[in-house]
Amino acid sequence: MSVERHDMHEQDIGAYLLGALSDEEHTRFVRHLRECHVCRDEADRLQPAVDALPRSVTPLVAPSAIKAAVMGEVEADVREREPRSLGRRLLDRLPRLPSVPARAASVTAAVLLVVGVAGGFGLSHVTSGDQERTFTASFDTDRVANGSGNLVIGGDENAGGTLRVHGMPSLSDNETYQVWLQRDGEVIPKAMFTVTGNGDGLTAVDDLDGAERVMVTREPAGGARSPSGPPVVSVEL
Amino acid sequence: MANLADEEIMHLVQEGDPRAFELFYDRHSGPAFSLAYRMVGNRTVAEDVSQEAFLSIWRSKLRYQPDRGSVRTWVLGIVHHRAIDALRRNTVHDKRRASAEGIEERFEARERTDVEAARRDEALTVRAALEDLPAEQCRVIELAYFGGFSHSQIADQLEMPIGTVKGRMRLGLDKLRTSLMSEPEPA
Repeated sequence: MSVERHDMHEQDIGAYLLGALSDEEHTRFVRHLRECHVCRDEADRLQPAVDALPRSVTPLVAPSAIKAAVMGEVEADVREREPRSLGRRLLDRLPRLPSVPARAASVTAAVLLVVGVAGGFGLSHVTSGDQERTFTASFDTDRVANGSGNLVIGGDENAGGTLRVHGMPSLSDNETYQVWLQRDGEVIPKAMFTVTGNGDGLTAVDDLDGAERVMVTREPAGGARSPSGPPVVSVEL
Repeated sequence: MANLADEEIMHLVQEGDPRAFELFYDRHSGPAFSLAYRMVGNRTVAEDVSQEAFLSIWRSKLRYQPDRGSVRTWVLGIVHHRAIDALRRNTVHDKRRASAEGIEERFEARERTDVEAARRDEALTVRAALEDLPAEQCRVIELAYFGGFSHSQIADQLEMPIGTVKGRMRLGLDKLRTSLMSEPEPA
């Protein structure tokens, strides 16, 4: 490593430690640090000053909503840590279904979705308030790595509920998420919704009386008459 | 578990223990949110930054390495990066002043515990050391660290050469280090 190169980079130490270099400069400087012990030693010497800076801010208490949100996601992740079953592995090998008449599609879809649910989504978690119940959604972790969400149903199931999801993959302009109800062996198409750039989505789900399961699949824009594949989200009622 | 050191808690967190993670969150959420808010100046964005930082620690199992500093320093480094990302996602650094939101009055840590009192004392000490720096050195450090500005942006803002900005960053950090090293250890 030449003296000249050291002289070129030495002036960048402060900016490097403060995160004020451009991406390209940062990459070059990190490379330089590997070969220049003088700059490495100087960076190590000044690092405690940078480490002290965040401790200069006014101490605040984090709003409780942050903990509720974070621990909600953590607990959802823990519940989904079910080992992938044989059913789940087999489901991954199922071919995409061709178009079929509605009733046959409904029965087939029910089988597909039941297999999908039995395969490895895990059990939904129910919490109850005075008038409403909350069911934790399960996610296909192969397609929704960081998903979380729930279905909140009020006291009257006929009034429906609200499905909230987070961490969902973005959709193209030609796609939509579609909700399905499974009831008495039938799979019934319900609402469609999209998600924000952060992967958050919210939709009402009506007519839940007698429903066994609520599912979400990814469909072409405009929706489908039957699910085109296994669900990405499943809520067992 | 409550008596475990941060490093021991981190070991459990990295094994996916949610109770250890909750304890880890309780210990570091205040400083994390405080830094996020100081940088972005907006409560909602600060909450998002804090939430993203903690969830990234939980989900990606970012590896804490003890030889690189304390757990607190490591967490605040992650928050700092997330806050800079948030600032740079806005093309204009549009920050409201904390007093305009009144957030400090609502969320300021009162000195209910020894830990909170120690945090407040430490903040006063470090702020005093920063304010003791020559004004131009303090300014470039604050713009870089808390504002997320690059050296060239700072040079433009302050209408000075880039080399001068870089020099003042380094000199300021050197003086700050010296000042803090000469502070007596807390009792």
